[in-house]
Amino acid sequence: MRLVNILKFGALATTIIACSSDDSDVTPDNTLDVPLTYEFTRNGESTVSFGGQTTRLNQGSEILSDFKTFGTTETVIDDKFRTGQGFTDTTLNDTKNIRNKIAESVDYFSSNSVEQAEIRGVFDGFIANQVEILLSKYANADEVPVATRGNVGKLENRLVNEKGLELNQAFNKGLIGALTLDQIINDYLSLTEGAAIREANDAGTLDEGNPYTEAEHFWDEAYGYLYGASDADALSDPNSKHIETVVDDFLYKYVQRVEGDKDFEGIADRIFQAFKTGRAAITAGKYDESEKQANIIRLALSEVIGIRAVFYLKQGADKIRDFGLDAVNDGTAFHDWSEGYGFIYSLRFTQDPNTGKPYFSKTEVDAFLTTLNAGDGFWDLADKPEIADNMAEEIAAKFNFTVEQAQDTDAVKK
Amino acid sequence: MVKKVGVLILVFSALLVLSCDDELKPSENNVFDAIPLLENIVDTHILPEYDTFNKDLAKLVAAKDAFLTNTTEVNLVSLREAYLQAYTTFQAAGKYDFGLANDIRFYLNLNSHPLNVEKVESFISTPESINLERIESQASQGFPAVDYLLNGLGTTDSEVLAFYTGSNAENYTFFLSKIVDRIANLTQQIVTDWENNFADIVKNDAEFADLIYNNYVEYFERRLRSTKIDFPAGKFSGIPNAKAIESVFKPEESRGLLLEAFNSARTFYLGTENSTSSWSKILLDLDEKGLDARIKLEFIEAEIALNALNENLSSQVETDNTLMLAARDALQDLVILFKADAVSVLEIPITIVDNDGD
Repeated sequence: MRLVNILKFGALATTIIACSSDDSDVTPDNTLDVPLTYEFTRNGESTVSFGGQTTRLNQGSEILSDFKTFGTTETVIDDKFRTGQGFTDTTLNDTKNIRNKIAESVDYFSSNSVEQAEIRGVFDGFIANQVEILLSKYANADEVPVATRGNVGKLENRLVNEKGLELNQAFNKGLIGALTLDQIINDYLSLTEGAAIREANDAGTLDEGNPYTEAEHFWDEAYGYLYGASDADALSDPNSKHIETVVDDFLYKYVQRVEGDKDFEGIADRIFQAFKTGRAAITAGKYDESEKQANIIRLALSEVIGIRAVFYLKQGADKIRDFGLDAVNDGTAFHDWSEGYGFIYSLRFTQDPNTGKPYFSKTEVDAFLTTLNAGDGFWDLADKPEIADNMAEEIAAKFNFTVEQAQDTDAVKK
Repeated sequence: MVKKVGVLILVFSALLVLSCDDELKPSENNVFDAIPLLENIVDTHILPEYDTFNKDLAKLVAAKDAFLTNTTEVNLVSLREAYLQAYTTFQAAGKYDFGLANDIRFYLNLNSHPLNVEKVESFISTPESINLERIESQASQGFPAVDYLLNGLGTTDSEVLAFYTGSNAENYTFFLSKIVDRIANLTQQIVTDWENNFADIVKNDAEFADLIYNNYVEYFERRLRSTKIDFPAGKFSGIPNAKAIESVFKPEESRGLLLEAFNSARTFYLGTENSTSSWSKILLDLDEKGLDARIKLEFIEAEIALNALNENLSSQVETDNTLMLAARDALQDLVILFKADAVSVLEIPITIVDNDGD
């Protein structure tokens, strides 16, 4: 019987985790001088800078609020998204923009411009679609009809497309993979592994007009995509401050969510320690160590994506089983699945440090999305929530966690 | 909502962390002996209650078939009796919303009220649109739909009968048949699953004690208290809705169904005359005579409050809703005892959280 198999299976996995020690992975090279906070200086001057990352994360947040603002035109959002201009918060107007960093990583997309264009087109599509079916069609949320099978509308305060998907969630959670995760683990951390960059780093060659080497800066930009929007004091231990209130809308928020699940307690600190230790190793020219730390980050952040994909698939299915139609009408189940949809999209940007490849290929992710979009989408999923259960099992099977562990029970509710 | 399995694992893994060097004994509850309790729950509550219900459903199907073969007032009356009998024994069998019952949304598909009459009418008028497996059809089927078909179409037997003999008779009989057969079919799936292996699995895995306790409290709070009393009384909305009761088309049966559910929930706590273990006996074994006595007393007070209600709960809501609210409060006193006092003694983690989204 399903339930009991799950119990036994879960117990076995937790036993292994509970009884094995992975401390060896996080113990820094003891000859390294790793600071308590993410503060690095050269001649008394801070060498840490990630303003561009902070800007993009905040640009993303404003675009997300546009997704819910009736009357917003596609041009307005596109300007922000493609050119980095037109933000209400004018400090965000910049030559930097989100779109040209989507699916841009050296590891996956440097010679894969076809897929890169396809991915960017998907995000363009979320914007265009949201404007077309909702923002340009109704003056305000009160005018939006209640969503029904096959029809755009609202479920309480959730705006969904004809398949029950919240496009803003797909956009947001999809960007977590396509922008933040991809930039961190497949791009900037990988860029520190280049021979020329290391040579310059070893020679102490500073980036022109800046107090840091290029390798240091790449590492810090990776750091910035995770912590850059959390608050002005992102250099101290962000984890000590943000367990309850995370202002970031992207990957860091979900590191914290996963941290809140007792099965994964410690993951936030593991990531922070790895960033600090790896940065210290770069500065010290200890590249075995920085690579080791980069792989810890790749693994942990990839797991965050997988865990949340599983979590939302299961949570939506559980709500349907427990509350039935009420969980559809109040928008909660489809909201879960909409978040899950974005995290599933993000799986393609994960990287298994053992293989250098994503845990799920584009083809595999596309197959998941095809299943979720089949027929009437989430409406069909609500009729047969076991489809979501099975998908959750398939996802967890490729990672070193179980579905049951990912089904957080004590975390901050989201 | 309940993340039944997840929490078990959490608790479970906490135990394991403490006991890495020891022999793993994952199915041992430190506080009480769960296996004899589970055997009693399965053998003296769950299986007999499903069996009784399933047999009543067989009679309901037979009465429906007889009625469709021969649409007479006599057969209508028999069918109505068989329906009420099955709805009555459902009140006991409907308590167990876990395992396959949870997967197929057994309770929700059999007893979501108020009925979506508009959708039912559209199913009747366009039979090809009937799709009872869709989630939107949840409140357009089950016992409330049968209630409508047998009691709600007219005020006299001959008026009701006219729908099954008139020009649209085929559509009415088709829908009636679909609805009744689906109730029987969903129930048979669960009965078969329990008989095949679920009963053995539950009886042999102490972890199910936590799950079953949580399920019981959840049932007590969400169905017995909320859907049967809170919603008609407008407890949360502030707007009473006399139409939200069970058996709304024959409302004089509504208190009877409520009492049936209440008594079954009480028996589940106390145990039957055949039970050698029960939640009550566990508390007594743990020297918690005082707590057990308080729970028993609150059951008596709740019974008094329920008996004070009009047999027609719609009338009760409309004439003196305060008695409904008083009955609700009496049940809530029990919820508190179950969710707070008893769990700290039993050391059972409460895993119920509200479905309030974010």
